[in-house]
Amino acid sequence: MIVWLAVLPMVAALAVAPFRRTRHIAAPMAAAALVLMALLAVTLGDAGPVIALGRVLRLLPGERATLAIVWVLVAVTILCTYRIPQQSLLYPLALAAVGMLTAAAMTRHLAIAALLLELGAILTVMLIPARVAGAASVSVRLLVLFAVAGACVLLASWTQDARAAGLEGDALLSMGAICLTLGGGILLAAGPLGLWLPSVFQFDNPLASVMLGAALPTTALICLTDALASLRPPGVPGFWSDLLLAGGVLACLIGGLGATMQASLRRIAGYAAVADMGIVFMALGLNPMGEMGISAGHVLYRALAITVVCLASNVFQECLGGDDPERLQGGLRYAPTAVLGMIVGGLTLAGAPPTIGFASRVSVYRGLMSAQPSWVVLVVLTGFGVAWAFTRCAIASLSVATTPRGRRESWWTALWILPLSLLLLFLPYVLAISPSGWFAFFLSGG
Amino acid sequence: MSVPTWVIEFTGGGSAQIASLGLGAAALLMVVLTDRPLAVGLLLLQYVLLAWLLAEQLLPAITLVRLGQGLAISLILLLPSGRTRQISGHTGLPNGERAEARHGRRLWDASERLAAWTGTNPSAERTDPMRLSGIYAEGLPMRLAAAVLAMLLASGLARTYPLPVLRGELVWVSYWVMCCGLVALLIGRRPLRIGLALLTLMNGFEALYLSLEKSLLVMGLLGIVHILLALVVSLRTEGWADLLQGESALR
Repeated sequence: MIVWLAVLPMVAALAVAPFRRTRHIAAPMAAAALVLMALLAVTLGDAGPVIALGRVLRLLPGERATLAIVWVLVAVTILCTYRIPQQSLLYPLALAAVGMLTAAAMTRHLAIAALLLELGAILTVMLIPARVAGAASVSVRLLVLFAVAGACVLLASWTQDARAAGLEGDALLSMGAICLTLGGGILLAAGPLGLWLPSVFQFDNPLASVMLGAALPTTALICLTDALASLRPPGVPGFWSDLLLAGGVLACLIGGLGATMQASLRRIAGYAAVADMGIVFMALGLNPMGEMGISAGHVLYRALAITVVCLASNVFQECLGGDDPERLQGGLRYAPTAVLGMIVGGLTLAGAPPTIGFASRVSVYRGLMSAQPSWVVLVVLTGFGVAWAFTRCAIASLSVATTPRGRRESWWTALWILPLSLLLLFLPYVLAISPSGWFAFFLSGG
Repeated sequence: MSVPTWVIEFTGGGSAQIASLGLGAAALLMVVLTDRPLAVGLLLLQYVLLAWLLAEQLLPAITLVRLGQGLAISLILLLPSGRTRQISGHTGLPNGERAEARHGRRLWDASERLAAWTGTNPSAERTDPMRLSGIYAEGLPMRLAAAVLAMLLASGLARTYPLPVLRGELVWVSYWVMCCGLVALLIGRRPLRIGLALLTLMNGFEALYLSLEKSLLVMGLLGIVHILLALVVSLRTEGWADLLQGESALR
């Protein structure tokens, strides 16, 4: 029963809490719970809707598969980084946040989904290290943004309900659409509203980065896609498309420009993630009929790429003492798998060929070419900006260090980063030879 | 019409109007006053008045639960508010506005404020605590100007989006409280002040939204959101205070 998908992480959070100070026990327990959830999600079959507290709970097979992949990525991040000294409640909080986000994804009522998303987001904010300079400011400002996002989506939900109750009016629908775009923009970390993401990435905590950069936007996309169709103003043709396309192009522009100006891999990854979410916005804008379409696939590759880059950055911190281009010099000698992860993940986020990021971008470029041809050039150029930022780091890591420094990466982290990097690298070819229905199944959201 | 006559006429309609006036005043004082335990008290007052304002539309049991929720949130926030006051004492910081005005100009550096907001400069919190407290933007003239701005903004919003499905005073007070929360957010810098401003903003939004949405589940989840927000603000303020105290001890 799909309700277990939300209940299981909550139970696991309670089970992990007593072992919170023993990372060697808590981390495998938390990861096992997440993998169990993923297995449960993909083996449930075509489960019908469930009524709980008078509300319909449902997850389509494609949505379940999407969430399962994200949970596995979170589990890998937990296992790969468990040796970093972190706050004691990290794993119980992460599990509770996953539970809230899952409950949000399966709720078909926008207001309740918005509140559950907000709760999940607030719990995820607590994953940011507490006693680090700057953490308090960033955390409290994130709370403000998520509270505003929640309020915007609640208002959008009210306009949806008012419309269902027979209250018509273009102004009402436009208000709903604008509120949903604002709230969605914050939760999906896209455009100027997504500039909080690089601030999260700057802290040396891959779990917080993966949760806020990959898990939250993926879940938010599942929650908000249905609302896109219902709040489409009929009297204003192209309103949604223009709003989403403009938001997407703005996200690419800000993310691309921001990435070129950063001096550390983590912050480059943060801006690259903002830019890449612009592609998801554009994919939604080109297909505003409530289908996840290409955006579902893209958000998954994005999640995979973010995870790989965050783990690589963490290895650089550990082995070289930092992840800025100066410190990365000679990185290949000390952390070869992390360098591979950085290059593959970075180029995927930049949408460079022949990565999977490029494959999904091509479809968006084609659609954009027919809608707004001039914007295609702008979006491609911003991709170059992100690619240049990662290339700078890659060149530094491939160069030979003049003085020997640092220490070799551990086999444990290499064990996780290498398969993820290879998967990301060969995914286009894997998908090309896979049964034809599989890719379509993912893209159609089941 | 003179102001006292307007107040008498306004409050003559019933208890809801008194609650609206009180809620607006509490939100206004939240912007103007800087004393943190007092601000927490004002937040509790907001919760009480909000419960009173919505009492006609909600079941008595729910009103009671909401009052309990307000009390719990105030207690959660009272602990770090005492702690920040203690730190102000430890670091030799007068808590008054005169000191803020004296030291504030030094921090009126747009690039530093921008960097602190975007999080690009994590060292911003490591700067001198004297400077941290002395924000020019938190001085009394600025706070009074912000309160006036909030009043103008709320009156503009109430005229532009009157929401005829709701009572006039409810719409007005919702916009008013939201605007007060918003300007307090904009001028606030310390985690606790930002947290209090955020909860004020949320209270304004709830006054409006709970008049439109009557679902028990939504109300319950909103209550949990409030409590969780207060918890995170409290924990982060403690972390911030620890960091500040540690650095002050090092000096």
